[in-house]
Amino acid sequence: MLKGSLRSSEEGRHRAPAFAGLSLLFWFLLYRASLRVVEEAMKLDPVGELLVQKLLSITFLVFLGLLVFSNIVTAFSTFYLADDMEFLVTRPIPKDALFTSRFVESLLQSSWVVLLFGMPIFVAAGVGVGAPPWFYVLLIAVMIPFVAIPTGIATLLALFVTNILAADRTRDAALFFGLVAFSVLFVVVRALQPERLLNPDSFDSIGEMLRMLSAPTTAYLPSDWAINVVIPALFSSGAVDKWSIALLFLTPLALFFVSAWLHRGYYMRGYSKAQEGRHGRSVLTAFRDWLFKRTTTVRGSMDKNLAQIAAHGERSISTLGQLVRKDLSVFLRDASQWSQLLVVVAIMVIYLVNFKYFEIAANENLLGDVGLFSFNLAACGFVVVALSGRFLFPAVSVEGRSFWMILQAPISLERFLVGKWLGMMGPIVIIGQFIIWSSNLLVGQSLANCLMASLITLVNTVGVAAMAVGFGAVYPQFHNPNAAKIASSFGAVIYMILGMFVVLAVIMSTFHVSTYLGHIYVGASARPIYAKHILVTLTGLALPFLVATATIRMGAASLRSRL
Amino acid sequence: MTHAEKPRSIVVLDNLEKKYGKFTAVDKISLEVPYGMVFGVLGPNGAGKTTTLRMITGLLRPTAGSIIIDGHDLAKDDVAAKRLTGFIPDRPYVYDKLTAFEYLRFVSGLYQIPGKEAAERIPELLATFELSEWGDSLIESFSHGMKQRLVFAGALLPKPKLLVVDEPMVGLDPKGHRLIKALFRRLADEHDMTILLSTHTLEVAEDICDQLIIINHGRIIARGTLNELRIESGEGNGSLEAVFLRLTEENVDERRAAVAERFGQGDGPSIFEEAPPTDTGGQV
Repeated sequence: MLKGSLRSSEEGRHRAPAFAGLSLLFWFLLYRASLRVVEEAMKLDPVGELLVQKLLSITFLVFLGLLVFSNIVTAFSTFYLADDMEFLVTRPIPKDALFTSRFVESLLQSSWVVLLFGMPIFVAAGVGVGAPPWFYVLLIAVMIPFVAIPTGIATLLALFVTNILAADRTRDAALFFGLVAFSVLFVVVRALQPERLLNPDSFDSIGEMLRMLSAPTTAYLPSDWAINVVIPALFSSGAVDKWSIALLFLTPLALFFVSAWLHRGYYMRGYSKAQEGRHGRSVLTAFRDWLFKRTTTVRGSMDKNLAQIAAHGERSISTLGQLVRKDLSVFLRDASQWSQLLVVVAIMVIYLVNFKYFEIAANENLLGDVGLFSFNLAACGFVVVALSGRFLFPAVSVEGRSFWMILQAPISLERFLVGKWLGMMGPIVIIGQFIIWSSNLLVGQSLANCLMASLITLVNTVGVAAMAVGFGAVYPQFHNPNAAKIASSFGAVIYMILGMFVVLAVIMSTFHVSTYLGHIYVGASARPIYAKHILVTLTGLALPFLVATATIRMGAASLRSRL
Repeated sequence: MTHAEKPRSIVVLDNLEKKYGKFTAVDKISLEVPYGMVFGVLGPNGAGKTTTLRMITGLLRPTAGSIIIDGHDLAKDDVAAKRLTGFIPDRPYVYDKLTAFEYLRFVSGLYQIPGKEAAERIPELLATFELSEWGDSLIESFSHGMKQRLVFAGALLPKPKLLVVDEPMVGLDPKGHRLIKALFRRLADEHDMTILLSTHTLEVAEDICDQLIIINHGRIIARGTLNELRIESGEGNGSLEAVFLRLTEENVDERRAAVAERFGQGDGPSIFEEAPPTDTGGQV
């Protein structure tokens, strides 16, 4: 009926160069920014080298957290939930060969992003410090075992979970363990107080700073082994820690062989349980069924609802109302979406905790109050863009095979997309407003600043939400049942980049007037504003609405062209 | 549109064509479907039946040609044309996370049916399709046949003038067959509804269709009542099955040439060194 993903082979030809171009641009910007940080850090005598070492340790630690999280989610998916497993396990494939192929697939799937976007940071460190050529060779040699260790741990954990626990909600278990791992590493990173490194003045004495910098980041973590290997090469000083080399290279090998050996005996049992889990009974499914029953009759039984409809009399039942209602019901009853709500809560908590720390930088005039205000708007805008990407971008695709109902119904595709937009924008608006108000109140911004930030975030959310729906219609994947995968597709990346451009454009165009009003409110002197500033501000505030209209139309036209 | 201007036919297809790249799925079909008839569309697998019906319902856009539904051009005024049309696909993909009642209420919203009318018709249709006790149950718990019956209920809810049905009997039990056949006849006879259905179940077509067309290789190769088709095929007293097989039979060379032409190798004879198929060419 509808072409599921790409419109034509011609579009496919443009896709790879476009993605490569965007990646290269991102790679270059990250490299330049990292180089700047390293060069600035090296100027801080006598702590420059220690500072670079500390920043690299934290980078390795953050990457380790990301790798563990994505490997756990990927391992469950590639070993137990992938559609092709049903075919593969019935073929006469040797167990070790199957395990190895899935291990490599899992490794590549969950590590390529970190490898691709982590390398510019490490290369920048080498260039900034003036490292010898063999540092880069060693870097590549270190990265391979570094990304393989989380894969080994994840495959063992997945095997354990599917064998031991009732695997009713294997996906939820994957996400749960991923989040636990991520949270532990988040706490570790937070304990290091990396924001203090931004502002050396926050240390009481040079001694305190040296103590913090020279303390090992963590003990017994692969990130520490990796740093112990690369740092002597980076600064061409000292001997490489042989114990760290041994641990770094032997651990993934040991994990691989132990995992392969255990998979010989226990994989089929886990796989079988994971399949039963899709249909089986457990406390969780019982709870889910009970909840479904409650939600289906939450407004009373069918008879009660019929009486409500009858009360409309000759008034028609609203199309938009029903589109919104349908989307909300389908979303809330899809148990695979529930775990995503955990992610939303995690994002909010991480945002607020981190933001509080940025206040230190503001106090020390690194960012300043105005800078902090704008930074908060941009960061909150990013959260809104990301959440819209996760929940609104797949909204058209998740219609899936039921989309025929919309196409043959007497409604325009524009109206259908507006229904999607209005129906799912509400929660994003609430989260955006919650974050912007709580973060601004947390750092004691004035009421005027809070109100302006709230307004700017609101218009940004409205525009970005429509963009997500519109771009989701331009790049639909009707045959992909996994909303999370749709949200990380090529089209979603394009939407994210353009969405951030809109957010930044609004913040920049409203900057003059909002700064002026903020200063006037607290009785401080302010740079005067003129008609042109007001005009630019109004244009900026109107921009998201114009973008919303344009992208909804573009999405509808794109869907029509696919028929 | 005034009564005097009312068109003769509810569906008018004019040189309707659908191409996928070089492949021609529907090859310049022209057709008129009169009001109040059960109109059958027959043909072998891949003949272009489903593509034709999907274009009539607005699920696919024609490459060329026009579709007029009750005087409304589908290309220019699709909302008005679709308001008159109900569609039942061969596979009942519906929103599994809705209840049967919520699904029908959603359809009421799509067609902007007045509240009072929807409140009367929803229980009535649930009863007709023996789904009354499942009104508050999630569709995901339904069997294929139950889902199919629910889609029937949804398609009939807005009282369409034209009901387009693609393979209505797929997944239905014998009781369901009987129910649907009787229903189609009643809708056409008592409610002046036009039923345009494609089917492989020739017994259904024989029992209820007033007129039939047979499509092969994207073209209409025969049209008329069953008796007219019998005469055309030379199967004087034959069943529809015999008529169908006679009309669609072709030798290997004819088939090769037709396939070559359909896949964009219009110079078929030069490839297969044979003449093109000798069918009626799609014009009715």
